[in-house]
Amino acid sequence: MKRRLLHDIVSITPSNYDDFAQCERRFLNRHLLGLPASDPSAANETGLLVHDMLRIIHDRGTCRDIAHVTDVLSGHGADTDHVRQLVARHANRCPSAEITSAAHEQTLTRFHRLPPPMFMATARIDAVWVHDGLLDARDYKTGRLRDERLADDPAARVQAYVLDAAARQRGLRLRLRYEYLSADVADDPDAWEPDPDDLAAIEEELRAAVERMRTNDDWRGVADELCTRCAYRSICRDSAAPGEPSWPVLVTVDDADAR
Amino acid sequence: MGPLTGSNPATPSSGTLARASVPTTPCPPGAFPVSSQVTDTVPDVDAEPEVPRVTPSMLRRADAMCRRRLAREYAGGKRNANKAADARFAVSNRVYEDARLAQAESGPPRPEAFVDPTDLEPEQRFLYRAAARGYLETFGDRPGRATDLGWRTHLDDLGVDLIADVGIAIELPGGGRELRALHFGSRHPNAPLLDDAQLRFALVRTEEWAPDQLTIVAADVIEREVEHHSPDLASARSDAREWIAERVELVQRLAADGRSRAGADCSGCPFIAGCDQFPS
Repeated sequence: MKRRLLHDIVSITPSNYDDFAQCERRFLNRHLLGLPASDPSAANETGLLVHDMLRIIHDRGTCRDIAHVTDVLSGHGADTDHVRQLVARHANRCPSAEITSAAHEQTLTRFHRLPPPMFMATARIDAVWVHDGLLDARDYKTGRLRDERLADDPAARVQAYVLDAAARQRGLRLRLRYEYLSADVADDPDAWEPDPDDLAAIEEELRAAVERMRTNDDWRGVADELCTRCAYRSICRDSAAPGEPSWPVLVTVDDADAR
Repeated sequence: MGPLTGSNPATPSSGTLARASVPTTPCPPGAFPVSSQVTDTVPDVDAEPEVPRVTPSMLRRADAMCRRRLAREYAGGKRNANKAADARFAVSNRVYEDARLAQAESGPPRPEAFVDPTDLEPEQRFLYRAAARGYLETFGDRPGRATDLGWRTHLDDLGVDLIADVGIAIELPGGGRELRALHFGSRHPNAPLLDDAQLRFALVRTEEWAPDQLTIVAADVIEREVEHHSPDLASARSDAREWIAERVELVQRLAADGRSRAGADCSGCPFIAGCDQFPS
């Protein structure tokens, strides 16, 4: 029996499209075959924690109220210097003082029907602020800077595509900004206000990507330096950095003794 | 996971299983994965009448789900909806199938039943081999004979089918019953090996096969994690039936509302056709 790799209506997210744009084989392994990572990658527990804390801080008050922030962080066992610094760096950029409405951790959708193939784009947005005629969407980043221009980031293009529908529906102008909360990143990339031509190009780019997914029968990996950081580098057919998977079941007694 | 305690005398304690389980159709060996085909149509999702169905996921997530999608999944019209991808189940289905074959006759599992699936992608074969090794490490010294519980149990009193492959059912030499629920390394961090919804499904779905004694072994055969559950069956099943009845009532109430909501459930939704969130 032939198994189906893709839904009839392909799902596109910032994360899976970023993988597809970087390496089709990684996209296959992670998003279509659902394989567990074979190699360790940097844990992002702090990032997840900070996202949760910022959502709660804004749901119940403001990030500029130091006592409130301390209460929330303490109440969740997160009142460390590092987390406080990340929240403080957000507060310096937070537009909450001028807003008319806001939403946090919202999943937005946009369906592409024609021209074929169809796809469903979804994106979970960390924060959306409405102020000054803007739909000001923010994505919090706790890691290193990857792209100097948001327009160059495949994940940002999916976010912009999905957010555009929400902005137009409300008669607002879209602005997307990545807030780099780590002190290691001195400046955020410039906020991006995609124009109609940008958005039309993104829609066509995504449509063409889905078309490629549907006709792809090889899913070739990039086999370059990207492999050294890939979570599937040990098992990937096309890996430039093959090895033994780190799955515990494959660790022998001798391996364990050696560690 | 907390212990299952308490019982409800008002909950029916017998006569729940009125229809024989539907045998599991073994998954034929998967071919080389291919891309899906449909590119420009949204099939009609009007379905023939089917028995309403619930899965552990529906009972667990009902409150958070899009009610339109919930209504359609509950009504069981999925076979006429947009087709979903299933390649991600190729390895797990194959391991389950081969593990059952490995104990088709009484005795410990036969390693030779685990045949390298050369028709799958190389990465899937890595995972299959690791999973087979993990399975034999975990269960290799446990004799028994596999039996088929199928995918479905009908609950007459609720008028619904419970749909889930709850695990590999093994009849032990002394007459005991063991259910093996497997994971293959893809759990979310801190997720339990067997959550409450899965456990309750397993308890109700095994009621006819294991009325008096049951051990549930939940194992992640990649991560080398194993848990044994030996519940007090009378009270745990009473609790399970009560919980399922409550959640089915909730599902029915939310499904009757049926309002659509754009959000995370749109991803992978097989019922986009006719959805008022996405008008043509």
